[in-house]
Amino acid sequence: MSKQILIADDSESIREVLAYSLKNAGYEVLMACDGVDALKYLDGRTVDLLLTDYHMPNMNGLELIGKVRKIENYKFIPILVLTTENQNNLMKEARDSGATGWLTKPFNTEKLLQTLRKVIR
Amino acid sequence: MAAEIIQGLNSYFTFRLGSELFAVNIGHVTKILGLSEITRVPNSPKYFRGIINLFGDVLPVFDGRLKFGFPEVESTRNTCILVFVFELDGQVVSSGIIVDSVEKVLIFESDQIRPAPTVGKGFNNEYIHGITTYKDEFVIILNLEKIFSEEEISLIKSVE
Amino acid sequence: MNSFAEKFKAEVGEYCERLESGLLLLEQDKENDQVIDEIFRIMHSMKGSGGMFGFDLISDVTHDLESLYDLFRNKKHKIDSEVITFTLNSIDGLHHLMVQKPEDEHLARAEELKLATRQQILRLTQEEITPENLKSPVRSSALEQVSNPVTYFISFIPDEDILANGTNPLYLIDELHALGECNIRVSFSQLPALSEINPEKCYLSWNLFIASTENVETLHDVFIFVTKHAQVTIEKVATFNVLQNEAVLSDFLNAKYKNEQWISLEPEVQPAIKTEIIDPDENEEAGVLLKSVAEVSKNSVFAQTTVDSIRVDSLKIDQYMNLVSELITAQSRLEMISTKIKNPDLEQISEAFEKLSRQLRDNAFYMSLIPLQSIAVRFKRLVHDLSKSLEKEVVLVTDGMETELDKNIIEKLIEPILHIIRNSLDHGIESKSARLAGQKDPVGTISIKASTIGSYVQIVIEDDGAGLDLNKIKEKAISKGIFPDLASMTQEEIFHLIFEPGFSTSELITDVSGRGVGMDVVKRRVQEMRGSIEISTEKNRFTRFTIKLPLSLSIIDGLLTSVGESYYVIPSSVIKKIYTIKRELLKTEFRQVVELEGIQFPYINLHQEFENGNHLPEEQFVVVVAFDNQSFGLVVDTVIREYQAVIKPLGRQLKGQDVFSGASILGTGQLALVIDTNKMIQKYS
Repeated sequence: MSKQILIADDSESIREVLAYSLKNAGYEVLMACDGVDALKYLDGRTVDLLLTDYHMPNMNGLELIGKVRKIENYKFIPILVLTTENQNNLMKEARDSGATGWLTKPFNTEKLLQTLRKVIR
Repeated sequence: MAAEIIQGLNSYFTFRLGSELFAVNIGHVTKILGLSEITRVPNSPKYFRGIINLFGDVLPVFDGRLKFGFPEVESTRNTCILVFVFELDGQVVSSGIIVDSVEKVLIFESDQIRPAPTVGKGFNNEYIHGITTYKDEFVIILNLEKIFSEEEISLIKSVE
Repeated sequence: MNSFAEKFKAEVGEYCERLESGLLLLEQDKENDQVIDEIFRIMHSMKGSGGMFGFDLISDVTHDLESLYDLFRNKKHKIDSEVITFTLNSIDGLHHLMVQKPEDEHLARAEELKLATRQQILRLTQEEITPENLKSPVRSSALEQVSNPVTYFISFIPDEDILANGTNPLYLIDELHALGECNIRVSFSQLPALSEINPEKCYLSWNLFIASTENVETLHDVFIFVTKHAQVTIEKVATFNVLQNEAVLSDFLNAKYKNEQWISLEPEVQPAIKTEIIDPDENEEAGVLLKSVAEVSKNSVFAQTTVDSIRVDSLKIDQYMNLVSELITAQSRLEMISTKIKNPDLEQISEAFEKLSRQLRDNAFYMSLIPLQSIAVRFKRLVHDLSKSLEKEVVLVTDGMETELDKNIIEKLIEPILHIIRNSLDHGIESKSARLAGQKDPVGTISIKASTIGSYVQIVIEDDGAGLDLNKIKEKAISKGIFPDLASMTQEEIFHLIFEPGFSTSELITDVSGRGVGMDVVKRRVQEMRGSIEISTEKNRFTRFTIKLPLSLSIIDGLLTSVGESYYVIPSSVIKKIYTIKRELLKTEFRQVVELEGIQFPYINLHQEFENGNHLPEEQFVVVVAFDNQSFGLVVDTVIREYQAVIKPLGRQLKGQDVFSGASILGTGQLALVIDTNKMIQKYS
């Protein structure tokens, strides 16, 4: 069974480009447009990886991670945060709130998949 | 069985039941099998002939003649099972249908296909996707999805 | 990529509109943090996406704008009308920069906008802007590639809580593998006694040598996510590959660690990074400890790779099974020919071939089955963790976890069962004080019992909690207004309302089992597997969910029989006895009963039911099966032999009938229908 990845990002173009690359790489992709939406998706499903933007309306990425880590099934799920370059403090913040790692924009497919390999098989 | 419906083709597989020439879109046809031993499922309707072992999977087989209201005949050496796929409740399902003989593959452009006439003898009009002609003969293009998607075989308590 | 660029353009349009309305709001209410946040967020998104889709100018300009708004977001400075007007103008300017291949005119305009932004920042901060805090980030230039492998030593000591962030250290080790030849040693020295092991913690650390052509930065990059959660040191050992020279490696390690014990992984197992332990110390105690480590790590989250199994795509197993089926069909043809030709040599080969292909088939079938045990750990964990956080004391009792089911069914079972357990813990089991007040054992019990019953697997999940509250369900049904006909419903029917979509009895939506997903989803999941779920409950005593699943791909032991020309399989699990019987002993007047060994019981003659009663044989067999605590006879023409049946589904179109739970492919390639005796007796008697 292919792994399911949930993308949470308010930007449709980023969602689509991520989904495109991930589907090509054989992953199954679910898309949420913000943190609240993402939580709905996680409920009652088995998601193998969460890829979330930092800045999102309603509930930002770090808040989302905090909530996700409180869900029994997702305590150990790998979570990547989308960041932009030179946000070192954000990366630390992300780790502190429970993220597994981060993916800096801009990225290409190769970099995306390379980063995924660090956290999921 | 990883079956797949191929969409958007304009080739049609033709076969005969009685004197009529039928066609189904070739994207739905996966195999043609010789008539082999069919395991009857007791007390199922007559047009449902039973199940066969298709490379390790169970394939339900229908009798084309009985299903479409033709009289029953003895099978000949031309009689064969056409295996096709269609969508049922979002899943791709395989079924077999016994036909008198298979003919050739013909190409019909969509403008060659006319809507089905409203009267058919003992034949559910919804089953027909359209009608066309080939060498002065009518060809009935079937809508497989309609024919079998509503089909759920239930067993009769006992055959009297 | 182009369609993405188009999407991005449309998005920028949208962003600009939102920025505008936000800015206009700010003009009225300059202290509105939410709006400032929103503006900052939009700038940030534009910056990130712009770079992704090749709109570098957008990215550059919004980068500076983002810095400007960061000042307000951090409350370092207050926004004023000048900034608002300036931003509105900048947004208009952005529309002109929406190009992937900028020309001089665009570049100039962008430069102008950036400069103006910096001036705004300068005006507010009164500080000299250093190039560092405004310049677009510079990517580190391509580092030189080393052509000959260099041997590095890497020590990787994860913090105990590294797993909490979803990090699997094994993946990192695995990633190193992709960068060069590795020699890996694991240290268990931090491992506590078995009873103190917390499966959520990581006690292992790694020492490894890698011969790689990559540079040190690349090796460091592997650990980039865990720099704060692990100690990673990388040292150069030699300028060439010394991995094969064990003496050099152990000298190096001995110099570093005098007293610690490291266990080397044999080269063959390295690529998969199994925690298999080769060559445990001759010291017996250590050997025992290592063994228990392997066992514990199987259950822990940490060792997701198990020691003695490999993962195979289930699709491959399906393909394999199909090939085996074809092989068996071919074999039966060979057997037929061999019987015809009567050549002793050929017969011998044919027999051997038959035996082998049968073994191969059994093997293939067992491969796709896994015991429930494999998921039981998850239930235990849930009960353990959740009971703690709910401050309830609950024990989980499991039974029959060795029951095997198709892998796909097991996977789909996890969520529904977890949900039921969650419900039991949250709503079923009462608080300790309530239990004491009700004179119940303060420790609650949840039990999961699995068993194979006929051609079903039955899983019963029961808690000894408060039971379902009939009145509450009624009230809820009325308040929802969707089930108006309560008066005519039986108690049981009312309890089953909890499976209706949108129905949830909990008044508070708790973190545990609330939020949207309800029992309706559980029911749907079970039905998707063509199973059924029932509920029974008694107030203050128990709530019991009974899930029945068909063995769709599973193997059952059965009895192969024939009726007329056809073959039928009766599951052995329901069979009590088999008798031969003369036709005249089967009484048909009044009621179909047969008397055997002084006991009378009803029977169904399958020949009569399936073959219209034509050519009824003189002698038949009565297969006595259990039906609702009674005995019931199924009369068949012949009993052929015991038979291990692999049940294949009959296909969607036969879903409407349930007398036959599937078909089994016999060695000859013929099909035998598998009888669901309960359903058959209900239908035909």
